[in-house]
Parts: sequence; structure tokens; C-alpha cells
Amino acid sequence: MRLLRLVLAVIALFLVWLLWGGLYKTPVLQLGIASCVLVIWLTHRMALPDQETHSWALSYRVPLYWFWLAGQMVVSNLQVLRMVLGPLSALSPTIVEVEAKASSKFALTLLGNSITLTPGTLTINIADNTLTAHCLTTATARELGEGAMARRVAAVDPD
Amino acid sequence: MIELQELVAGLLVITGSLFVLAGGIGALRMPDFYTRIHGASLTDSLGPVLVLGGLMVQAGLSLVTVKLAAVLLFLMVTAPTASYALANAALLAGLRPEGMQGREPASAAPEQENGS
Repeated sequence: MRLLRLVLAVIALFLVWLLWGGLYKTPVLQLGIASCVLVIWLTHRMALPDQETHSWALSYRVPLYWFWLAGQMVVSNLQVLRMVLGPLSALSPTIVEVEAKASSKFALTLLGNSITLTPGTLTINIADNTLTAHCLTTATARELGEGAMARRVAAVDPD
Repeated sequence: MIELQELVAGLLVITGSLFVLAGGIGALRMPDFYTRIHGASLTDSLGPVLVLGGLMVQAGLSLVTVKLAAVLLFLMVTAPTASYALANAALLAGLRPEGMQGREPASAAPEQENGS
């Protein structure tokens, strides 16, 4: 079982390698396979990859979440663009605390990075399940405080 | 058809560049450290999405597009992580943002030894 997982990892890595290369000659392919095996051996030896297990459902839920996030990004980019070019008196920097509704490391990272990735909100601290975010205006702070993003992240990776 | 592809690609790249420019302006104009990060964050959200999206349109369906998509993916994961590292480092170093005066961050640095 353990060996099977390692072999699957080598195969997955080699498929990605094929996408990067685009040069399919026998010696090159041999080197590719060798480097994939080497990488898996090294990571296995290090035994560092996090021990949290993840469900396969993430592989389609995360891309779906990205679509929603992309929409949010466009909206907030335009808002911040207006702030940057408009009068600075429109700014009202605020701190807001967001309660994460899922507590795995993956979910916390996803939520923190999503907050930072949408301009106008910036994660500055994470402690337990509470994220502290710095917002450019009180309006964006209120919107973030309502927790729509935290709920969506919890739907992607529920505990 | 080819002209339309080139036109869309060009428009996307130019719009993305304008966002990057606006990010630079924001980083210079904003009043304090944390708001400057907000201004600069335009540079690493919609800016690269539009620029790389334009390049993908230009490359069409090919291995180049796959690589560009991978670059975009890595950028979308690493850019906010870097912003967080910067902001969190400033917070832990004691730079309180406006509206947080007198409050400790929930996981403050360990207390110093007595007499140090």
C-alpha cells in the first residue's frame, strides 16, 4: 500500500514533467523518470510533508472556489483602484477579526490567502481560528466581517 | 480570427500593465505602512492575472499555455503568502495599525525575561 502510493506519486510527477518538457526523446525521458524517482525518494526520506490527509473532493471543490474568488478579486481590484487614484480622504483603515469555520491547516491557509489576495483586505495575524485582517475602508471591513468567505472556505474543506 | 486573437491578447496585457502601474502609484501615495501594502497588492492580484491571461490567449492551445497557467497558479499562492509574511512581521515587531492601539495581537511574541 505504501509502495503503491509512492509509485502513484512518481507517475503523477512524471505526467507533470511531460507537460513542462515538450521534448520527447528516449534519453530525455529516461532522465525525467530518474529525476522523478529521485525527488520522491528525497521527500520520502525527509518524511516532512504534512501529515494531514485530504479528501479527493478538494480536487474539484478548490477550482470551483477559485471561480468565486476570481469574481471577488475583480470587484475589489476595481474598488482599490478607485481608492488609489481618488482622494485619500476616502480611506478609513479598520481592523476586523474573522472567525474561521474550518480549522485544518489547509482551510486556514486558504482563508488567509484569499483575504490577502483580494485587495483592500490583508491578513496580518492568525491565532487559533481567529484571523485578524486589516481593511482599507470600514465598508470592506463590514463585508469581510459578515463571513461569507469563511463560510465558503468551510464548505470547500469541512472539518 | 488571428487578428482578433492578437487584439484580445494585447488589450488584456495592456489592462494588466495599467493595474501594475496603479499598484506602484498606490504604494507611493498611501499614507502608512499597512495601507501601502494594500496599494501595492494591485500589482499581485489582477495585474498578473490579466498579463498572463493575455499571453495565454496569444499562445493559444499549447504547452506554453499550460506553463503560463502554472506560473499564474504559483503566483496566486505565493504572492499573498509574501504579503502576509511582511504584514505579520511588522505587526510582531510592534507596528500597530490604526484602530488597534493598545491591543495585543492574539499570539504576541513570548514575554521577555525579567530584567532583560
